[in-house]
Amino acid sequence: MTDITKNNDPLVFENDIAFDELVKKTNFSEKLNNEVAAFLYRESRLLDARMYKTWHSEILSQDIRYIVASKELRSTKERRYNQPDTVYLFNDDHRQLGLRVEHDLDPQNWRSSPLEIYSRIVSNIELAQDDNSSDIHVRSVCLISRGRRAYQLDQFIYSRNDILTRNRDGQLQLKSRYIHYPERSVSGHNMLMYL
Amino acid sequence: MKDQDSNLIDVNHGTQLHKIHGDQKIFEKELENVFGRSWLFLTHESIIPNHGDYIVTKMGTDEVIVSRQENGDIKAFLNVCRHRGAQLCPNEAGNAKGFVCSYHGWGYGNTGELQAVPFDKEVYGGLLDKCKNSLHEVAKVQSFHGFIYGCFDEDAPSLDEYFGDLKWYLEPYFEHSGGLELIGPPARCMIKANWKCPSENFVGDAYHVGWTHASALRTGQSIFTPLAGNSTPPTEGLGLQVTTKYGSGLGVLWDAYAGIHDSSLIDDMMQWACTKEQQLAEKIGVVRARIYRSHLNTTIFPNNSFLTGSGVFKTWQPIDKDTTEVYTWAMVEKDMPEELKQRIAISVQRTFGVAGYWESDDNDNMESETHMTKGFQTKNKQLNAQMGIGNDVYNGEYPGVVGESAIGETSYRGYYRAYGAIVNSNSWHEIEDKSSTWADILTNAKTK
Repeated sequence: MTDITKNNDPLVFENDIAFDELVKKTNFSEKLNNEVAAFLYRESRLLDARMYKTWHSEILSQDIRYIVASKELRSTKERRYNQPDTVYLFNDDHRQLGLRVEHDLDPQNWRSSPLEIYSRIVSNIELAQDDNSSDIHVRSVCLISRGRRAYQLDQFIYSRNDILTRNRDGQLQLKSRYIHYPERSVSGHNMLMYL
Repeated sequence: MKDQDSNLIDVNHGTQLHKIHGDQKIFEKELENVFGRSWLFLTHESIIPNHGDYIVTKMGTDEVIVSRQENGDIKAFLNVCRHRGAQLCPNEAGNAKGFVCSYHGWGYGNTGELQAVPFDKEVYGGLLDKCKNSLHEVAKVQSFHGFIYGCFDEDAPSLDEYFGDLKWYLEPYFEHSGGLELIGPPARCMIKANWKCPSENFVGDAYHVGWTHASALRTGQSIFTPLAGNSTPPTEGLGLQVTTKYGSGLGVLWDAYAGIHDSSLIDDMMQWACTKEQQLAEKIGVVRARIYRSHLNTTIFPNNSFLTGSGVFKTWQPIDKDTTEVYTWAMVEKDMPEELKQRIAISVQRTFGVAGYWESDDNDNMESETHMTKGFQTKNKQLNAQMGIGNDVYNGEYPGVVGESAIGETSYRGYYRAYGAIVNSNSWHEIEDKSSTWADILTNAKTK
């Protein structure tokens, strides 16, 4: 299967070139496009509605890798400095995401009361698929608006690189989510939500 | 004694005026007198190991380039071109022989010297004195066991003196363990809180853990989980609180090395620490070896905080009176297996990073403390840091001014005694004058 996580062009975010090549050579049915879009919209609605347990058990596959990366700002010409350039704001598996859900729903989670109000927008959905795999690569652009307390309305805008798979019943599930978060110093107080 | 220049800090009674967390004039005074005179964390030597390696960070509201020199020394400069004041380096880190301004192309070596000016002869007629246009250099840069700090004031005490009594507590972990390293790059985010709110919390607030973090404690199943929801009352002998002459302070929770890490890390971390504790006991004694295996919440005055064992390392950079930029690294022991270091790094960001489920519990409190200073009546009311007042000792069993319980506000009082002295002084000479009887002031404090 094509490794879409690597390319050597420092001016292009990871997997952009490989993803574009896959998009060009795949031909999807309208039915599949609609199914994927409906899956992503349902996920957004579950999260907006704080139905986190349903999200965790039905949307996520058991082998989920859920990553939000923040990259240190480096010169595009940098060649000699070899320290790591990535810090993982999320680097979670199914168990860790389950712990986050428990934390969100705990009656002594003070920040959850009064309720936060979320509105998620998912757009620019594109699919790509390798001939040798049933996994579906999906790129989308998202916006989350989070209103909390009287004066806070924060917005988070980012691109997602997802891999969807099918469970035994043939239902789509999220197997991998990778987000390179574009705002290096996150302005919205915290990122304690699901992107 | 109330502070001589204002009544912001009442050292004798352990109170502060609420407006310290949200007043523009106070903030400007802090930039001049606190951030202009104190030692400020810059980086760790493991992040810039080679000649030409550099990082860009903040000292107060000023951006600085921190650069490894050819002879191994580390220098720091304002990240500003001397010509028209544009930002010199837009990167956060890298390796460079020098820096070229993107505005007119003035070029500086990584020594800070101005080396190249486009059309120097043609447009300046040879009259530009390059020697007088080097980058503005930070007066002092020194290391505490690999942790690099800078200070704008030439008259400041050495970094060693500045750490003072805290060294006795920190050296087992920072030095005798075999040394530490930071795993970068840092996570960064903006919170709408005054920079002192998190700094004071980390210096000495074990009181909030069971309540603020009730949900995180319960779901993460860390060694602190029995505290969740204040379900376990504090007992004697759980720990200590310590404060020092220049405001840095810490809290000790005995035998709690694994700290905030969840159940997946506890066994591996406690086993690691117990093995090393036994090795250290012969070298530095049983008590200090036990301190190595304990959990220390610490703030180095004014804005650098960390949790030993937990491996959380922070700077709280002031942006304005009610905005702070938070930098978060993972701190690990150099000789740990790489796999363990990476698990700790992921756990640190999961708990105390931008999406950290412990961090956001705290941020709500920090932000509301700051926001409430907008109340005209509120800002002139007193805040209370009197827990344990009258019981603090100096020249006892442990160095520093010590409160001999895990939960108390000894370190708050020491932090704000130093803050009051520093923010209202125009020189280190004045600060020293106000601090000559610092321990007596703190140990004689009492409620009204």
